[in-house]
Amino acid sequence: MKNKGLSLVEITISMAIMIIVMLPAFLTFSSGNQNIQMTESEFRAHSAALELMEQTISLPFDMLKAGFYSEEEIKNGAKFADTDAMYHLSFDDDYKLSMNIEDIIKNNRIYFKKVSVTVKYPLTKNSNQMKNFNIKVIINNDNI
Amino acid sequence: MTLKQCNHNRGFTIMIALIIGTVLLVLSVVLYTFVSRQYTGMHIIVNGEIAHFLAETGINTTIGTIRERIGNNLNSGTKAFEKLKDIFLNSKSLDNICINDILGDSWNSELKKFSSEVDKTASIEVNVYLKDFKPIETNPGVWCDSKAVNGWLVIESVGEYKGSERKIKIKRAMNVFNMVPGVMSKFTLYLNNCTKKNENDYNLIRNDYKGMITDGPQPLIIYNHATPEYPVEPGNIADILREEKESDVWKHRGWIWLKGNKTRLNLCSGAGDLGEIFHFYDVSNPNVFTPVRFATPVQSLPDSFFKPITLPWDKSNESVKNTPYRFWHSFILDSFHDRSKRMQNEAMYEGDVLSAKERNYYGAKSSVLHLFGDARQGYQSRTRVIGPVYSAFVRFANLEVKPEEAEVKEIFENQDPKPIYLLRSIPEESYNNSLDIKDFMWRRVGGPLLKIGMLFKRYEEYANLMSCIVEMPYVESYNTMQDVYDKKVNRTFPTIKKVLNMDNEGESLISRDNNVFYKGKPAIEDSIKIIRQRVQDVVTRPADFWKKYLNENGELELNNVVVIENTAREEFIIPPVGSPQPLVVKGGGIILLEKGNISLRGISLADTSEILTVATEDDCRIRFESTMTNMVDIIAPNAEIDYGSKFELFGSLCAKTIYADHRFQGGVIRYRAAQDPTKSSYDKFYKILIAKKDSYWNE
Repeated sequence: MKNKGLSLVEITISMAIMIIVMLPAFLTFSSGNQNIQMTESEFRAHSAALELMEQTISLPFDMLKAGFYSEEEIKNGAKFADTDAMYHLSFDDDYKLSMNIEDIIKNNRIYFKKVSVTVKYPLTKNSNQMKNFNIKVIINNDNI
Repeated sequence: MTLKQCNHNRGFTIMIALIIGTVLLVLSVVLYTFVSRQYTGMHIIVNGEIAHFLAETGINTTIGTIRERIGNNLNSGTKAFEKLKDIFLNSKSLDNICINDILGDSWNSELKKFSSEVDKTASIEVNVYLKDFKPIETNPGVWCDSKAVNGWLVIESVGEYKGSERKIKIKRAMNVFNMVPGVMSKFTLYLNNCTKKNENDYNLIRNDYKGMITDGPQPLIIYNHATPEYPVEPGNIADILREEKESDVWKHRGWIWLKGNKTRLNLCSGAGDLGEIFHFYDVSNPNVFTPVRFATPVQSLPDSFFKPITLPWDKSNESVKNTPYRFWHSFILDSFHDRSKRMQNEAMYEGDVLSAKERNYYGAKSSVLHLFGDARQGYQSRTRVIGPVYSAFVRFANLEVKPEEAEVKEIFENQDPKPIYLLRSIPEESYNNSLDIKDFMWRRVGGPLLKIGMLFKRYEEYANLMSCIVEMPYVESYNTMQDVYDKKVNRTFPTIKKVLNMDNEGESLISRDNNVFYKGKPAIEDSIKIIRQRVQDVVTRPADFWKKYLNENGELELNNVVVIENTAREEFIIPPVGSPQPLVVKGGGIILLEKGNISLRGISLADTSEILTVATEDDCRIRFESTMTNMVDIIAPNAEIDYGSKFELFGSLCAKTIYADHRFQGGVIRYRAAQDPTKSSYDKFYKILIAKKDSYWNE
């Protein structure tokens, strides 16, 4: 009977080993989970930016009006364009879109427009920490 | 050993803890690595997209900049445009030529500057090439222009962002061709059917002795030589006159083709405002008119002209003397120029120079077509006219009487002015051998009493030599004029020298250097064919056209070849209603209207390197509704030029026919010499057109 069962010492040592090993493991899991959430957020921000950018640059050049457009202006009927076309923006309210359209003028004619789309998004879900994603493109006036 | 057995061993729990811990540790490391790689992978995707947009920015800005630099086509004449045009017009091979230099040396660094707005690591690099250019207008039977090519503008753009790189390569169709409308650009006037109605309803007009219009339709005046491109380009009249000395000057001037049945091109005096036209004057001094005398060949004269004839001459009331005379005969071609004192209609027929029969036939009319060589008096028109066109001239028969006796000869020589006996014409039924021969001033020939029967035994002999109107193919009259200009002595009628062969709708050759542009029988349809080949854009209605191609100032910036379908047959009014007149053309091109009538209210080219053509195949009406100048080529094989305002056209007018009745107000057509393919000035009308859309792109 002497050798049977677990001694308190053994249990204590085992728990210590488990704690020492599990702590970084759990921390790693937590960090991985956060990274996954960040990846998801950035990817969604990137997709939101692309969605708006692609729909904007596919409009006829002359329809695009220069100016800064906030999230609300963009979602409420595409005020940045001289058109009734509504844009299909499929992302959550957490993703704050804004857009800037700038005319590039040469010889009194608008040759190009510079379109910048910015997405402000939470670093992770339910996080208060915000991050910006930005893409820019210059489009050409094919009417010239 | 079973688990139960193990449980009995000391240290078992520690072992289990170590194993579980190790597994968890390995799993967590694997998970971390996986998540990190996923994160990195996502960034590669995102960065790649940004790099893609950078590359796309490179493509977009490059296309726009190429358009701007080559002046596509607002400022043709820019350095880059000239450089690129030089490549197209003078390069032996157009394959794989890098044209980065037309974007400027600093172009890629400018792009880098833009990309730094995105990120420090971002960059864009662009290379532009011309590839696979092939000639497109290769048939000399329609139009052959070795400089007209199409191929690809290839732009390679590489965008880089945080280590991610995207390469986009696009091909855009590029066309290079001349905006001049093919073979018709060589013609000032080309009419498919001059005699649509009746020969006498067309081209006829009354004018007085000064060439001024008295009634009826107004003249269509045609200048075939170069005239200043007023108000754009000042010209020098001395240069124009200098050309007159060249015997082949007709090659460099606008041609005229009057198709249909026989067309009479009566040539009339234009000593007034209309200038001098087709007159047979010695041009040694343009301000002194000298009718041209053509000797009648001896073999054409009756026998009685070969030996002296003794005739009684009344020296005085008391003295009658038989005197020998010798007779010679010549023609004086004076056209319709009249020197009588009558200033009304038919002034030129005073004195029965023409028989009543001839007068009834021809009337006191000359042509509505006045072909000008120059507005100055005394200069001939040097125009090539093709088609069954006949010129009508008044031919004065001149009987020269030379007395054999010195005494009588002296009396004759002392006459001032010298006796010129221009013979009258008489109706056939009035002829008999006992008639006196009198000149058109009713003077008896030579002073002596002369019975006609002494010279002409039959009416036919007389008819051959008497005054009348003669008609001859235009080309013969042209040759005659050339003889006059060359101051050829001993001219006989008709002329000996043939400058041009008889040209009756025959084959024409239009060439320059080694390029044969056209060989064949010119037809308006050929110009239409070549225009259709060049079409780059189609719009539905005239309103769509104006919306697309008028700029904010109401000026036309076409720079294209456009079809207007116009199935509703709306009238195509140039400029559109509500726009300032005339229409200012900042960028020329070709408009092909499929259906509907055309109204012209004035067109002005902003630059001498621009040209505008309006073409239609429709059986329609073209009307000039303003007296303003229309700087345009009209190519309309089935259209009738309707009556409207008196008009001025600077270019080529090619149509089916011209409406000609009393409502026709006439006008002036000035040939635009710069558009002549045989001249180097033709090259300035080449345009380089880049397609609006990519043909394909890839990454």
